[in-house]
Amino acid sequence: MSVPNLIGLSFLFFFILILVGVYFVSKNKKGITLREIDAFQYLRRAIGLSVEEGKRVHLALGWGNLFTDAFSSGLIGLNILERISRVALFSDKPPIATSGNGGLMLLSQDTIGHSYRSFRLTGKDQIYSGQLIGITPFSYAIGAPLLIKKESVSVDVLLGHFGSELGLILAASERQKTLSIGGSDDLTAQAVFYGAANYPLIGEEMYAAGAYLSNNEMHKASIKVQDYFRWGIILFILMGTILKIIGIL
Amino acid sequence: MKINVPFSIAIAVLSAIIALLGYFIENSLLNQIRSSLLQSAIILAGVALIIGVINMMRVHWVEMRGGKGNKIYHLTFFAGLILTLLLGGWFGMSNPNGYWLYEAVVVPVEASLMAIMAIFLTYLLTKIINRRKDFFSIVFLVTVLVGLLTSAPFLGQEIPFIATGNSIVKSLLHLVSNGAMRGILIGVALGSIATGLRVILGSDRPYGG
Repeated sequence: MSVPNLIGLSFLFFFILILVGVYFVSKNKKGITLREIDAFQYLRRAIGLSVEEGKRVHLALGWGNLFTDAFSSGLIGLNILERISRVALFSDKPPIATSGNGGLMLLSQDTIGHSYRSFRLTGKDQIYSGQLIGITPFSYAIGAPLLIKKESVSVDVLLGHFGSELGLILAASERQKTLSIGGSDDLTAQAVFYGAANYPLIGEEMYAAGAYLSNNEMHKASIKVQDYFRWGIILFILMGTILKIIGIL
Repeated sequence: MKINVPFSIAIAVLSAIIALLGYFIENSLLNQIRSSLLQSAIILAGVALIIGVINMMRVHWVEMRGGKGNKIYHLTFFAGLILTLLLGGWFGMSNPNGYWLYEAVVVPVEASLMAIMAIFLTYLLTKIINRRKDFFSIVFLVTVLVGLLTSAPFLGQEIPFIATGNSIVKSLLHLVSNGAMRGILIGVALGSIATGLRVILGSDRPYGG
């Protein structure tokens, strides 16, 4: 095994070890408290309001491919879809998930279907609940605004892989006066979110969504471990800088 | 799609572990299993795309029959789909005639949308102060303006000390933005790793489990 591969594997092994350790420690104690993030507070409130108003929550999962690292943001979107669909399932207008990838569409339909099954309900309008609306970034960005307008959406949650074309979806959201909350793994998309969304999620905030919207201790533990590793990386960079300045490296 | 939960978790966790180990450890048997798993996943992704397109057709069909939305959009969708399938099927996708519709219609439309989007983004940016009245919104707005001034001439003129050569403002902006970008990417990478590991540990189940 080459040295970079050994380092990579050790890093993952170490990550899992600390993750499991933090999970069991926090489970035995009173749990992990997280700092407040506005976007998640408003999202919780907005979902409740949309159910009361008989309006729809739209979750855009982006067009992340199953075989790229961009798919991880889609996984976060699916996780949130499960939380949203469990709350908004009894609404006159259940949530809609849109995606720009066949795999994400199937997973979104299955996630919503699972929420129905967990309440022993038969899903109505299953073909609408998870839709593929375009398989190229721009066709997706054209299809989503049409859906936002047509389905009387009150909250747009955009969690997944997007590019700059995201501006078209957010402009439609702004025109319809819907609340937009979103995050992406892509830096350009994050900049567009910051400029155009009501509540943007920057950097790793998006990956914390599951921990904030559920009581899953494993999610909360993973947020803690991310923090530990971030501090580790910061110290590593600082040490490297100092060693470089004093001429050792 | 009803999946037996413990079985689906076992399949997902086992496949993920094999794929991950195959990435790091050089072993012929492990690589063979990993490559056959990946090939199966690629085939499944192709099938998922076909199912997605069928779902799209069903949605358009049901909405068109129910009089929901503008009929022109639905008809355009069906016409485009049928024409692309016929041309692609007849000439094959490696033949330029097979994908001329894509190049003649989709590419110009997407290019014009790119141009429109610049206007949309400018419009949305002007509203940022209305949306969020905080310090960082002002920082964001000022950074965008300075960034624009350093990257392109203003009314045909390069502003001295800002846009010219390696100006201090340009260098500072690059330094700060590169540092911030790296910081954000480190956070995203750690988030991606944690998400992937939660799937491997069976805590996250994006397959209805």
